[in-house]
Amino acid sequence: MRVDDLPLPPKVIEVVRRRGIEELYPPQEEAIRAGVLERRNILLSTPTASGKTLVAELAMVKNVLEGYGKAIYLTPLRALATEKFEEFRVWEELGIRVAISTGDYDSRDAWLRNYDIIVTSLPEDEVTVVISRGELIHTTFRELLNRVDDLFHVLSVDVENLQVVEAIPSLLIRYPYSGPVIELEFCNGRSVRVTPNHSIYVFDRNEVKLYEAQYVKRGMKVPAVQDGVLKSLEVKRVSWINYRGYVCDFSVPGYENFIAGDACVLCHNTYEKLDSLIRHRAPWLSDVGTVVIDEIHMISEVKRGPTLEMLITKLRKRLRGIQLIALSATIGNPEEIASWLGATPIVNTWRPTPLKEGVYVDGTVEFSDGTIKKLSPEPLPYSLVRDCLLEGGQVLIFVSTRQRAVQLAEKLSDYVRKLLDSDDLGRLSSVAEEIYQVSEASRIGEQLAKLIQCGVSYHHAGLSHAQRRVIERAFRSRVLKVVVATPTLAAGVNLPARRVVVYDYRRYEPGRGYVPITIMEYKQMAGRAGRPQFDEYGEAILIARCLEEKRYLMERYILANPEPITSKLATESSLRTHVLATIAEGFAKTIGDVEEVLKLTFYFHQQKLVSDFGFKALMRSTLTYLESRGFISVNGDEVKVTNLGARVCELYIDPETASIILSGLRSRKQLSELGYLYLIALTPDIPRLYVRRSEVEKYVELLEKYRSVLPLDVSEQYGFVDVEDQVPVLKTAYLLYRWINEASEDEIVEEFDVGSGDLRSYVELGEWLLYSAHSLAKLLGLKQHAGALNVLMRRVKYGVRAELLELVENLEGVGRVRARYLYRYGFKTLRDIAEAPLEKLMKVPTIGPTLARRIKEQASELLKRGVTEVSYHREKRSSLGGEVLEGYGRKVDKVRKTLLDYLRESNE
Amino acid sequence: MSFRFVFSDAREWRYIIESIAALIEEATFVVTPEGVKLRALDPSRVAMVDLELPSTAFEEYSCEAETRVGVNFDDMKKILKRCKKDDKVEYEVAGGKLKIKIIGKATRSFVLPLIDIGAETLPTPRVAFTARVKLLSDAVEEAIRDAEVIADTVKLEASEEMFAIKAMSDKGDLEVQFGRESGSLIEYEVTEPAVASYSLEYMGDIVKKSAKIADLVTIEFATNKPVALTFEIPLGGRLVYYLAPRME
Repeated sequence: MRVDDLPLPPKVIEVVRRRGIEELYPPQEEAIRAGVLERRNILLSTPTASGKTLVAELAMVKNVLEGYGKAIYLTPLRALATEKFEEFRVWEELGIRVAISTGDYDSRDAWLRNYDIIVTSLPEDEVTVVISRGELIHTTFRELLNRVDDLFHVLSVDVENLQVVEAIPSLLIRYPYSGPVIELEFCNGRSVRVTPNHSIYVFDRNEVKLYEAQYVKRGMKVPAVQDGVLKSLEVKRVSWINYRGYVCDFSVPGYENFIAGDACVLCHNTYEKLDSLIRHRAPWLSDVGTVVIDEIHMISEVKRGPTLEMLITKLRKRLRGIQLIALSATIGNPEEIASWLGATPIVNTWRPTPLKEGVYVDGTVEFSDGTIKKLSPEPLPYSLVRDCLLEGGQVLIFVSTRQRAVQLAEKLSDYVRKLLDSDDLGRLSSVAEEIYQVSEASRIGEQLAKLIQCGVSYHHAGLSHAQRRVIERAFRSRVLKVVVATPTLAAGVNLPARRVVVYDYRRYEPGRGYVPITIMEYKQMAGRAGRPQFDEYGEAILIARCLEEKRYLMERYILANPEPITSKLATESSLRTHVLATIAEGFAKTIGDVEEVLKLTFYFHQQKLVSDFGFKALMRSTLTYLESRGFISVNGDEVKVTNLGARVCELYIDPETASIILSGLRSRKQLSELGYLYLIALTPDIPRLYVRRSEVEKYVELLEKYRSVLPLDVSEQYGFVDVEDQVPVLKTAYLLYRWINEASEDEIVEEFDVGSGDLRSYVELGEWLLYSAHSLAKLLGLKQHAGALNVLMRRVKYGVRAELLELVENLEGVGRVRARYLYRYGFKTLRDIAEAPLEKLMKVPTIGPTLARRIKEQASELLKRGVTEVSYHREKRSSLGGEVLEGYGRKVDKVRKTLLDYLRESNE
Repeated sequence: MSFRFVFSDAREWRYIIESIAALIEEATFVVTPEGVKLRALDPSRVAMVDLELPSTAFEEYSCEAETRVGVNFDDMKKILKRCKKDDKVEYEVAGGKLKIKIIGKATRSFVLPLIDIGAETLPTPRVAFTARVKLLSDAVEEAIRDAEVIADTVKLEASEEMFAIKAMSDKGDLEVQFGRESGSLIEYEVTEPAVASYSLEYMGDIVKKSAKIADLVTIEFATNKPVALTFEIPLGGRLVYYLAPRME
């Protein structure tokens, strides 16, 4: 089928043709014939690079242009969302607005962490918000939408401390609205317009309270921000105006408000998630006409699958008459998924470049089509790369563990280097330079740079985002010749190569040992072989040691069909999380409603024939669990979420996590910093580090040493009874403990045997869980805990001791290392820096003339605005409570042992 | 589980409680037929308080069996602030409540809830000190206040000839000497010269309050070891502080 013949407006066809597409691929054609452009639900299960995205894109564009409302495109990975967003922006010339919402690093919104959305919407409106980048700018919402990808900050107010802070918004939404808006005019002549049910802050005696705008009366005073300073403004006039147009909404993670309007009034936002949008934003949501779900086979993932499954379920329940387009890799049971979605399955194994799959044994590769290829007479792994590289191809090798990836890359490096010419080497050294620049842990940076100079690299989840991006880019531009990767790469980024070698078909799983990878995983890896523009064909090669094994691999992987995907919803953890969410989000008011929602899930769809009885029992036990922990109340058939439950749901933590945290906090007035970290390391939301046999002794000793400050009663209560259960918890907590006590990244990587990417994700997780613990403590009025947790959370975010918070939180360009140097050289506060002569600042290591000037300017500016000074003193006080372990607040660095240690020593 | 005791000098009692409250928010009194004891670490585990009052220190004392009373020192401190000169103070526990009576021109009764504090058994310190100095407590207080002007750490030094309190920072140096002939030095024993530094924040909190209780203080320490400051209570008993050193 030719692009010209598509039932689409000429301007759409024009855009497609400009991309160089004239002819549709067979699976695309099949989708068109199946009615994807006539709003039929479609499940497209085809190999990578067979053009699935284009199908979805055409359907979305057609629907938007024909007035079927907005389209949502869901992707499982942040990186993919950015990629798609960039791709879709070509449609802006047709007047289609494209926006992206990803849970960025600052967002604690787990839903957004897991699934990114892109919203396309229709144009026009001017709502003023105040944003800042060093200075205050008044801008329109439309303008903001155009700028979503460059990082801007909005001003927000920390109501508790009454100080102005900056935050990065995580979600931007505008939707059509027609109805009344309220205009509030203030004594300074300025005004703000909001919808009647929008919350704004109002002074009520000595407190700041939230009022819906419709209840705001003349004479009330509201906090507002002028020139960065909090002021009180009196309401002079309230008028209701009829309005027709767009209104906007966005969320600011961490602070539940932002500053809006000419009057700079504080407006509250509801800590948006798409789920809560489903509830509150009916006007916006009912305007959605198309939902695309990319990588729907992720449903079978243990961790994120259930979230995706429930999201699809809820979207379908709330939005009738939408078109669903599900995209998937090759799976075993496309029909089953399709029938759940009410979609037509399209299954096609066509690929733009032919794929040859084979098994290597003893120097030759035997392909499934019967052909045989003799490789160079060198041992493994050299023979696998030689011919391919010499013919101008690239090789992607999958191994089972990170360690093996590093080893194999090192083994290959010298060999590959000899096969390269001087052009290659020149380009490689600039990539090596780049990777060194982006690496924070210098040891890993050096190692990678050395490998990359030889044209080889490894790639695994332990590397930081920046490192991975450099490697991926160098491989795509064909500068890098060989990449050795762990299976995580297969599931994520699209990184094709002429030859894919599946070096290990087993992978290590903690607790289970080596298990063979699934057929789906193999197919995903093999699918990476062959780059459409550069290769005539792709080769996927498995490695066998003997003929027996060769036959086994041929049958088990190459000739086999992928496994069916299955729902993972029916685990205790997912059920309690999602049942709670279903109730909290207002989808269920009775037990019957819960059942009804669950019956719409893929889990039920797959299981219903087997046992309705078992399903009911599972649901009952989940409800009992939630009730016993105080997250919901059950009255006859009626179910209601409690305040606590609602908060748990908002925080997106496993209810069990909340339960563990609360047991720890309620049973004592305070905990040491290591104690808090231990508590969050007990929760199911954090994967615990593996303790090697050689390390056991060290951690058992630490456990003894810190016994008195750890909440061991809680760990026993939740099944971590024996020392061997407690040791991994302690190790995990100890990693964060070392981080906040300013161990260097290199030291941590070395001591805990983790990659810097792992460290990042532990830091993120730690911050998120401490934030959750902090909010729970606040909700329950456990003030001492809340204060200590607030400081600890911020320390985890920056990896510093409390005394450096003032510097790292306020000064751009000052991280943990620079802050420590500044502190050591006597610049302990913003005031010290603002008052310091430039020459003195420049003497501080790592601070050059430009940075010195910049931080001095920032510090003076902040002081002028009076933004920070108060906050620090508050922290100092609360941090004393939190630092049970080593005391002294500010001066902690000099105390090594506690008094008890001394006393015990002398008593021995 | 009950007891009752009367301390004849409410102001003295108030000073004792205030000096404990300077470091500790909550702690447990252990009341036995023999007397009252309290041992607690400050929240940062840098300092420890050890109070011992024999039953003879009280005007009236009755206790049949060991009773533990957890109290919030901040609250208690506020109550005792209400004491006047010549008042007496009575403590009584009955029915799960602590009754504090201030007996003067009128009898005022305050009732406090008991709080449950996880009992951590703290070791009896047996540090091998190499220097023991007994001196006037207000002389020490003055020296500590001087040091606070200069630095946030104070250094104690005991040599053959003299005991010295020193402080140094980029603001300047301070040295207060107590020679063997000095009038403030009452007793002085050095088995081995000793030098150690301590946090002034803590030292100040300890000395400023406790100097009101007793005229004399005994300072015991050793190189880079904790320091013990003992204040003898005039009516009987003693209050000892232990403080961990600051390592440079």
